[in-house]
Amino acid sequence: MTQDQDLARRLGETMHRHADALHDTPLDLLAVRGRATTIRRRRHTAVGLVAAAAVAAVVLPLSLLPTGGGDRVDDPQPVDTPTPIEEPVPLDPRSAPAGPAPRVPYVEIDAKRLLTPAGAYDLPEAFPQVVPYRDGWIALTTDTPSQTGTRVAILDGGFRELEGTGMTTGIAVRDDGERVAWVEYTGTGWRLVNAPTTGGEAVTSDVTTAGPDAPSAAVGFLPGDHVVVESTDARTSRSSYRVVGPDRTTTATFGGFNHVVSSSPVNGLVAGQTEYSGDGSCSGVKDPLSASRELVWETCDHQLGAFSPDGRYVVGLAPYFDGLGSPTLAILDAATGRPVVEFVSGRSARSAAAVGDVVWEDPTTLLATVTQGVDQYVVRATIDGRVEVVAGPRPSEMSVEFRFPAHTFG
Amino acid sequence: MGGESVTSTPDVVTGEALPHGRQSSRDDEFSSYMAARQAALLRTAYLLTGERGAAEDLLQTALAKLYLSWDKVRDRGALDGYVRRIMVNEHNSLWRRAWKRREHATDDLPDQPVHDEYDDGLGAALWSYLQTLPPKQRTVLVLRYYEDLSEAEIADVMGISTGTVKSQASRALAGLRERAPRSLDPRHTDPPEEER
Repeated sequence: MTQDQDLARRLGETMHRHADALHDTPLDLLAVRGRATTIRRRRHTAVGLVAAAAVAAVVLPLSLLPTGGGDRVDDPQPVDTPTPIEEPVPLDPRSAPAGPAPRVPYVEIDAKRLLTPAGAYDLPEAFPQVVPYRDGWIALTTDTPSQTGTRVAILDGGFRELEGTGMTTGIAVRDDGERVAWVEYTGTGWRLVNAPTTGGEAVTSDVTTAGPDAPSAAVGFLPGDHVVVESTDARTSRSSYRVVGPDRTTTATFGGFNHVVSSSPVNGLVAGQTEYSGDGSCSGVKDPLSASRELVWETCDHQLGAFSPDGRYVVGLAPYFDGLGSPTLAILDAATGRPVVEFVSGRSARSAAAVGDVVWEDPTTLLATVTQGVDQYVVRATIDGRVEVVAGPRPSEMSVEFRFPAHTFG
Repeated sequence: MGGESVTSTPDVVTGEALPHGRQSSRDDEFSSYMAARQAALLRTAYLLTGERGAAEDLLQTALAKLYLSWDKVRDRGALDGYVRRIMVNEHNSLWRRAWKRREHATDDLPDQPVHDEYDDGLGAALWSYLQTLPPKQRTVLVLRYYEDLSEAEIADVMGISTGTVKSQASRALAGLRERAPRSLDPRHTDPPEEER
């Protein structure tokens, strides 16, 4: 028997000794039915955010599904290798069917409301980012003037500030929500904070001694709690990148990107823009911890976004778009850059749609904020080519009505 | 005389009126399942949460979701797996934990401590270390070494890859080994008396 097997055996015995002492059955049918009623009402409330006319047709069937309504995925399906969809899929929220409520949180900016799979919270302000942290929350707040315009605040369970930090640019949240990182200005330089959200010590590492006009930022996580950190040269405005480990050491430095947009704690890759031509761009993916640090692949057909939670896919957007958003949204194979499915806006003034914020709802499903005409929606786009509206429409005039609060701001 | 009297009650699942007989049949089936499996499921919930009150709360939510889906679950042999999956997902969701913190602020459940009949020091120490593990690592250990699930089954329950299951288990055991007293670390086990 190996050492770990022996430790595991002892652990199993300990668990049995503790748990097997429980023989009672404290719950009766009445208690379970009462909780079921609460859950059913909560699901209907969440789904009710979808356009009322469409809801009337779908709310009951959805609430019956094990994964329906306001629930997290309770029945995750194994991900098979999908067959790429060759033809572009229309991205037209106005004609898309309503779908069940998002299974990841989002913020209604105007109402200052955070909607999570479990319930809704009224916020003191429409935080650009807010995620559970220890016994409360951690948020990016904009209520203070600074060169970055934002800072990190540690909040209690009622969203009251317990602790503030210097200016920062955003909070990187690991896909599982169990780790966050940010870079804050200390007055003499920029310091990385890499912290578990469920308790335990945060690790801090000095990044640069640059001034507030040359900010650094946490881009995202790599395997082993490593963090990709971006630093900007104030004179040239060029960005450089390093990988900082939980032991405070820099394990790699790398360049070759105008801007790195995401990293994956599963496949160890980073994605970012490599070239910009004024009316187009190229983007690529590389492994910053590999010996060669060459690009794994590069494309001039898409700009890139977040990697899927399992690291198999990466978000693709149009190679060029204006401030309103991207006219296309794609799911790309993270290993090759080849599109698996691409959702494309119509070209007429009435049908044109623009994609803003994009997050993964599960390993094969995207949620995106989409503006079409004077309305903004939250749209679900799946790897098998389905489009559903899951929140909205809300009136929008070049404004942001919805935001995903775990997604890095900026 | 009037015709046959048909009673109906609001259905918990849909909120609509349901013939009394149909709801009664569902409730009878569900009650039978609860009676047979509740204690075992509570034990798993207790190992996941480490607290009796939290375990009851977790199980109540999982059973409520099963109740809502009862008519959809055709494979009655898979009910335990379905409830287990809900409990794991519920417990590992940071958003749900945040929500629970808020609910418990006004709705504290009375804690009923479990009497630990075995405690020669080693068991208590290991139990204590288990409580400090991050939820996912702890879940993997519970499913692997209490429920005796395979890595593939754990991956299915948690919605993660088998590689992640292996790495979480390895990291959890390494953490336990590092923090365990010397006497619990097999690498440092003193040789038997006769070998000295």
